[in-house]
Amino acid sequence: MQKVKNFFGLLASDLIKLSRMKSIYIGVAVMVFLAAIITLAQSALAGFLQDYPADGVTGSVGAEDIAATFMFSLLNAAPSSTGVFFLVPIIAALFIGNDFSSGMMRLYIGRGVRKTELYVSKFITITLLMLIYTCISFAVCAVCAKASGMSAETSATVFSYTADAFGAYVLLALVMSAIYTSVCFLVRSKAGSMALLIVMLIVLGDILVTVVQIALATAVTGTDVTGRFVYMHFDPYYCADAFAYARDFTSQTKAIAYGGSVMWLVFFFAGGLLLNAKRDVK
Amino acid sequence: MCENDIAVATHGLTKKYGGVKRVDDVSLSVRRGEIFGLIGKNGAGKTTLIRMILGIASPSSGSVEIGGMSSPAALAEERRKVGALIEQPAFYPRMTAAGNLKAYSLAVGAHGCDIPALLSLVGLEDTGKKTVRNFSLGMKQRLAIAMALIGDPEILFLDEPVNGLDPTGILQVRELIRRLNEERGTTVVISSHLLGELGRVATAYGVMREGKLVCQVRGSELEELSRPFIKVVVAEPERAAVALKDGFAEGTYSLRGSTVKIYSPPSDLPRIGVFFAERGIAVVQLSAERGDLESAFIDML
Repeated sequence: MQKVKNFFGLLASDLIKLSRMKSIYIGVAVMVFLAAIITLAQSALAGFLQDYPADGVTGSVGAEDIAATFMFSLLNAAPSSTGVFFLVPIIAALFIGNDFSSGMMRLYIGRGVRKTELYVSKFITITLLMLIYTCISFAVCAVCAKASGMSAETSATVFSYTADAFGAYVLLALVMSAIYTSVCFLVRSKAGSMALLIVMLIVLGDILVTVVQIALATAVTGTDVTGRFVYMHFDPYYCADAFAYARDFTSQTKAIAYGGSVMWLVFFFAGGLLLNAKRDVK
Repeated sequence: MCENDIAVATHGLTKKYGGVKRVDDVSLSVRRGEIFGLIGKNGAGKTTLIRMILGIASPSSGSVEIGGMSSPAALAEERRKVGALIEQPAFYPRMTAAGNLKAYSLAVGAHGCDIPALLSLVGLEDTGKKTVRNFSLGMKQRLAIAMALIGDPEILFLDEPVNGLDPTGILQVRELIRRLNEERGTTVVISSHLLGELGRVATAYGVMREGKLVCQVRGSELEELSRPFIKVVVAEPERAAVALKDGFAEGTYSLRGSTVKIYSPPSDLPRIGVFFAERGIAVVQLSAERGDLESAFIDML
């Protein structure tokens, strides 16, 4: 019982420290700003298409399509479109890296706090932050989508994907938290962790997806490569965008995407935990 | 001595970094209620030894015992009763002194800790909303000591506790250590290379050189080390050794290199001069020295 009480004390201490970080409030401001910018861009583009419709398309139809496409991506990939996967690794690196570089980890361990307790507490804290950011991103994007002036029919279609997408992003929040925590505990410095996490975001997110797309297109010219591209759901950074379509996932896609997510969650959480338990703190 | 009297003990503790032994087979014991001074030059292995005792670094071989416990789970529990200031002071720079103490006490399970009393104990009661990043070096050092005192620890490890403190600060820390030891019976282990500072508070010493524990001294051995002596530098140490064996009882003199220390009062100086002259041993230097711990330890280092 005392051990549980001590652990909750550690967790409470981490939550207090996190709440005192200005960056988490700046992060929320950035998310609201990005959602507002995308909504304004959609509104401006829809207005432009209404004024200057493309050949053979009536103005209202073009504008409605644009609104649907913009708002679908904005709302159903809310964490991705509001930069959650860019903001949280920075905050995680600052939060965890600071404990290492300031020497606080030494003090905790010297007072009998186990390395595993420290790791789990930080993981829970980052997960809570990730979940709160995910909820805020969906809330902000939902407000923006409602305010965008879509027709009731388009709005109903866009919002019909939201519940599935939200569930999928909650799972992804756990996976990403495990990745951020394990990387920060392995690198043990603010700048190093931040750099590595951003490199992972760019390489595993954008570059890998582009390379695979090009490779598949080159290897199977003239063939539909969608069937093969489904394996990209194994990459959690790809899922950061793809989970917007969670409602339409086939059973194969679900198995790859969710199974892969659970696998990465276990891999990074357990790997980080074991490696951290064995290493000395500087 | 009963086993319960031992607060901290190490048995053959060794730490290798890249194949080099930084701490080599160290077996020491710190008794309850002692102020134990760990002495050694920079790089002698003092901090590494403390880090291993506190579980921050894992030993390459050997074991640690705190409060008679040595299993990993029991050690973790015992370490909750240990306060520590290790290397540089550590804290959250954007939080106040009270905020730091609150966060740290929660994290280490010291619930219900009297933070204003702690701040007052180290003289930081007037810092208010000033964040720690705006503290002076001395204030940071005091805050680090306050953090070490959270939870009323039974054992206190202080690694270079007076670094960065002004003379008044040093005096306050010294008095604080003495008070904690006398009033609460706190066992204190202080590592420092400032021998003068340690000499004023420590009741036992461990001397480290190149990773090894050269000696542990306490009680009567300490008195012996601080005895006045006559220092004689001789030209022929071999002959002097033979002469000393004949003329003095064992334990009343020591010979290291060409330096002889004869533990006698300064009034014996002429008699000792005659002793060497009669035996035809050339004397390079002859002087009466006031025995002090500092010079005794410097000899060992």
